[in-house]
Amino acid sequence: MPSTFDRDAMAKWYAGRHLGTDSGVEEIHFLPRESPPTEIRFVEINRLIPETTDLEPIDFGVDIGGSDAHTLLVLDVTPAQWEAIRAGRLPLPSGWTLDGSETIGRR
Amino acid sequence: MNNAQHLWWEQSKSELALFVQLRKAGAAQCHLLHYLQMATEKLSKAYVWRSGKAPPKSHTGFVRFLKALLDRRPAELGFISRALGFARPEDLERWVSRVQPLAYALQNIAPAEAQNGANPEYPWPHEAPAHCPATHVFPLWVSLADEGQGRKLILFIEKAILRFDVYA
Repeated sequence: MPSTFDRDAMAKWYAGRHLGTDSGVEEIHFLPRESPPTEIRFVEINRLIPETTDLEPIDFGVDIGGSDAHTLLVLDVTPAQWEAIRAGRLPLPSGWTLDGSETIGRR
Repeated sequence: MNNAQHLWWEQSKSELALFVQLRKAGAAQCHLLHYLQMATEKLSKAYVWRSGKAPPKSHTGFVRFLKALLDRRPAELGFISRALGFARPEDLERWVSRVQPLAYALQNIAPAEAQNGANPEYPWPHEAPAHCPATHVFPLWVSLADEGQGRKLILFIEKAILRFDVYA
């Protein structure tokens, strides 16, 4: 984990952990644009969650309080839901955008 | 721990206690899985409330809980690991990766997530029932009860619920 809060570095670190510990996650999209500077937004494409899963980001409660306090929000989607989002048939949460997003996948 | 966490934790402890009693009483596998899944769902929601925001109403969440736990600061992960029975954070991380298929199977067995298949509450498929939970042999329960990794997962769930106040 980076010693001080650097959003891009921290996002890569969290993404690496999620890809490393959760084989259901195929790809992670980091969405920095239009998010508050201390907020990390991920869309995680997961092949092991059911289609019925709510499209609602979860606050992971990673680092509460202190000088480096920040928020990690994760939106879990199935591959089919991801395709629908990309095609514009399924909306992202309010205020979220794919513009300027970064894809972090398995190597 | 905030008040919402406390309320969800209490519910989780109660469902875990019922799971333990049902197991001692030799209840059918479906009931054991039902209460174990519900206890982990409440635990997951108690944890998510740590951000002060309400979790989604869906049944899923146990794998997300495990991932969120591993995302804690390294200094905190040390005492969390010890509280959950692991000597070092690396041991907890490795174990979470290995146990994850069982964790997914447990969270996805709730009827709303089971996609008209095997679940611990209702005969399935809904349109033309061919199976009844009370008489069904669940491969998931066989793994949890008879395999080392499964038994370790049940022990982990018990510790994670009973020691929630340590890391909430």
